Amino acid sequence: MLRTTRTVRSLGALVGALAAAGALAAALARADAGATAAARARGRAAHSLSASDEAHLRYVSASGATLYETGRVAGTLPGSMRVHMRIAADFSGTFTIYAAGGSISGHGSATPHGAGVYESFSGSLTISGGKGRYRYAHGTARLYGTFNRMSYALVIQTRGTLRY
Amino acid sequence: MGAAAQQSSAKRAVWTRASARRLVALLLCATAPPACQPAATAAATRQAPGVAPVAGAARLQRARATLQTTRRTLPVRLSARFDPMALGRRTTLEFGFSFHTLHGQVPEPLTGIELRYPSNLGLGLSGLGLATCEAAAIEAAGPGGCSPNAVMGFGEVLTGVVLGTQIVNEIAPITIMRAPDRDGRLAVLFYAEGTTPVDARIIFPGLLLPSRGPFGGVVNIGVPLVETLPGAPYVSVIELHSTIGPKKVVYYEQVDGRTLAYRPLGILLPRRCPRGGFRFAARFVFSNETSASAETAVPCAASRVR
Repeated sequence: MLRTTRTVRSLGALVGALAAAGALAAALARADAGATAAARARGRAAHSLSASDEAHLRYVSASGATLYETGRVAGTLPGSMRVHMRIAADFSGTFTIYAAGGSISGHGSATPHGAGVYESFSGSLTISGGKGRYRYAHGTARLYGTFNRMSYALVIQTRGTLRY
Repeated sequence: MGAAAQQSSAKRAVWTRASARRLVALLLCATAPPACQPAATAAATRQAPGVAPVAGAARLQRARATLQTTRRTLPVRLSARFDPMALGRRTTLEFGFSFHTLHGQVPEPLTGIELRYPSNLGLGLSGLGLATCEAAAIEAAGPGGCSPNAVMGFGEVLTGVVLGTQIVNEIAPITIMRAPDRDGRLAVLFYAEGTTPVDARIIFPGLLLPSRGPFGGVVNIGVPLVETLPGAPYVSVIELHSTIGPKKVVYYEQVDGRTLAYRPLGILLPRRCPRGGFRFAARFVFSNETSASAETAVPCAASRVR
């Protein structure tokens, strides 16, 4: 009986200990999760870069209204760039910049102006992600450029803020 | 398009005395057949300036009544094709529309067209419209007054006007030209030049605007009201066919001090066929504020990239 009582008591203690341990573990897990989230948040906001770049892109291929172009980027984030751009009543497209330590991806749109061989355009772009050190990249920028309607060459200037 | 703008555009119709005489002669023939003898016609032609409005006034009321019967939704057929039709290749777009009216009637005068074209149609990569042409330059000297590098296509329009009991038709060639941007948008000008029986030069503007899917854009065209005679109905558009592309278009460029002629590349078709083919849609607005709509699709058939 005593043993039984002891057993019950010990079971109760064990359950209590386990519950306490579970609560602690849960608390630790929450704390860890919170710390991770905070770390991520800190990580995402760790860098803020006022960027100004210029890309010179050459025609690679086209299908319908969509151009695929590649070229070099010079400025705050030097590297190379790939663009899929739709040339219609408005210009729109997606891009990837390959810079040191990672890549930055996003999309943008612009309104063309003027006429002739060179058509200028202006609009905005949104950075939606990336890889490597830019995996949490986000931000917005203004974009300006010219489009050569004979050679399809694109010159794109961007000015904005990159956070990563 | 506002009434004031239409009136302004209507004034762009350039009349000659000869065309007015031809029209008056036709009017008299249509409304008073017994008087339509060579001698009578010649006499009427001589008296044209004084006679036409008086002789035509009462009869033109009947002509108006004939027009009013088209208030119901007008059947319209929209057509489109690519020449050549080959996915991934350069092409010329051929498009047109025709209104179907009862015998002895013409549609209400057209005041606006919205033509929607498929998405991923490489119009911006066509190399067409490298130069621009001002409306004033065309007005003064026709398409010859502008750079040939502004030409984007050719076509013709069939018009009609009810005079008495007769419909007087006219076929006028059309030239489509790139114009300077308007409101920050790509603009084009449609120039129609009629000679017989009405000698009129009409310019109507078009504006390229974005459109929701499945369309890639819309060309908004304002059609001016074209006067015939005082008190007479405006000219009605019955049918129009046109091209946008390199077909029959020649551009020029300077290379090492020499002028070289070349054909623009043309509209680039995508490599893949859009679901349901290349869809076009059009909405037509008439002077009595009614409208008509039509759709069509260009099938891809068995064409593939080579």
